[in-house]
Amino acid sequence: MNRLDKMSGELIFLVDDDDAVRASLHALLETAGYRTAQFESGIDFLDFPDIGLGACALLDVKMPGPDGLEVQRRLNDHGETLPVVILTGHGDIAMAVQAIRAGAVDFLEKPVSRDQLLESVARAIDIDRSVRRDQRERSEIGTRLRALTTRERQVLERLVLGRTNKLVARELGISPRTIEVYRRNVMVKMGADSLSHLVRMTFQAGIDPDDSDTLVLPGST
Amino acid sequence: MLRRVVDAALDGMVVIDSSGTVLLYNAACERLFGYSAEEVLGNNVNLLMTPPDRRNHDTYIRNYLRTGKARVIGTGRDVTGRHKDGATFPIRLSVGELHDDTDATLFIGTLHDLTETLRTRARIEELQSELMQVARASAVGEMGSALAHELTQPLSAVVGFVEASAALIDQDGGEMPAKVREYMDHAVTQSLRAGAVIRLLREFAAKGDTEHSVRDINVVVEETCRLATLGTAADGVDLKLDLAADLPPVLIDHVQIQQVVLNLVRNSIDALSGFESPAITVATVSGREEVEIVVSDNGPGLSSEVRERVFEPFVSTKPDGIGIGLSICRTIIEAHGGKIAVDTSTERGTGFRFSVPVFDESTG
Repeated sequence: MNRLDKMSGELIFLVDDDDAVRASLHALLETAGYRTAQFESGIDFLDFPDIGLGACALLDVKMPGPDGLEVQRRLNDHGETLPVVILTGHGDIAMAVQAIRAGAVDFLEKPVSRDQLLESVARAIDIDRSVRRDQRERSEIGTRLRALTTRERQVLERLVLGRTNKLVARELGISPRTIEVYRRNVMVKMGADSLSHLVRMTFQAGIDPDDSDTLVLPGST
Repeated sequence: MLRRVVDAALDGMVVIDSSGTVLLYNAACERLFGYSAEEVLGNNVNLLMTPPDRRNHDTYIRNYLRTGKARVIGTGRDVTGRHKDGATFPIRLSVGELHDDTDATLFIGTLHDLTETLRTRARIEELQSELMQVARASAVGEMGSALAHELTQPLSAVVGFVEASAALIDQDGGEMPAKVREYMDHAVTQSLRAGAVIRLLREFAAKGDTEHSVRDINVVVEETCRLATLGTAADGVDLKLDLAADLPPVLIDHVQIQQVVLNLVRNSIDALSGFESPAITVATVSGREEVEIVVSDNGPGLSSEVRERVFEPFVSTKPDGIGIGLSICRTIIEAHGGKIAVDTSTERGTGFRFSVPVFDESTG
């Protein structure tokens, strides 16, 4: 079961087999302007097609079927980046360590006060935002990388490895002056203010310049 | 020849006449009482006794000869013997009557030292009470833990609803008597306090002292099965042990593991009551990193819905059971890093299998 409430705030998933607990969590989050979608089992939740719409999930540990930690594990396996807050009435240190290691934002013991809950949810939402921002930026950098010409890419690959214009010119067999032109074009197309900004962006796109002498950037073959 | 037979006997033998004078005192008696034959022969047998028998023995014989009413003769009884050094020890005494060539009445006493028997019995009683204690502590822990969970859920809903109501009142600009708002804060504080108490209770319950040591699982299983079949409930039940040879040693709290085996075997004994040719098999099986113990019976088996929930607290098939035993077993086995499950490979009856980790010398 799930119920989407017609409000404007972030969507929080509530997964707990206890109706009263779910309803009270909903009430608390609603007073803080959030929307909730409620699920009474881990399976129901994992079957939900629009997990990508949520900003975080509150998972109860003790449920019939897959427990909260198992649901968290399966979300990770599916590549979901949804931040998770684990709720438990029955926690121990080992369980908390396991949850946090698997990437849980928080591990809260019931009964949870409103302040505690809202603080954890706010933190989870912050994480969700930065993850989404990062994903957006990455895909944007990828688009810009793909817009470079083969020559420009070759120049970029060598520049982010810290080589001088002169060295790049020698390697590519063209004049340093021409390299200077390519370099300016790369900076403009990538929207970089400086060489260090350019290096940062290629890192963010998931490329490690220490990995090999010649980089294979997205879009180059 | 007869003399040699008497002296080779492991039990003590004493022959006295009707005045209590010792006529025969064999080698086993010398070992038992510390007196040599020379010191005892011709003396009154009460030398070997403790009061009040020591004082009254002559009277016992006289009363018997007068009335023919036997106290020990023809049967036996447990009495206390007295060693030369003054120490006393338990003896099973059996007395027979005989007549010599002159038809005088003689008595022959056979004396069996009970010290070892009693020590073994005491050890078993000690083991049993130790197990009982652990069982009781585990049951309290398990109940506490299950109750804590059942109470935490509604409590957490209470906190949520009251806090949400308070937040709504605040958002509406406090259109309520100020007192109401204040009382709601009290309600939340007190509910959170109850939550803290439950948490403490659970932590307390979880803190059983455990003592791990390296053990031979076969010995633990064997010892426990002996304990489990004491008592009349196990009468007629055929308990078979099928122990794998060359099992690696395991690192366990042996009293806890004994409790698990005991629990499973006793459950089987209960389930078999009223069934034809009841049988239980306890097997040990070697795995790669663990040793498995399988307890199975040929009883009525478990229904599928019970099978699914059998390790949950408060689930029982016994009319007077509270359903805490298997839940404790699971807690114990999981705390050992092992697993416990219903054995589905058996076609009839009920089987349980659990594993305990092998002792790893490199880490242990």
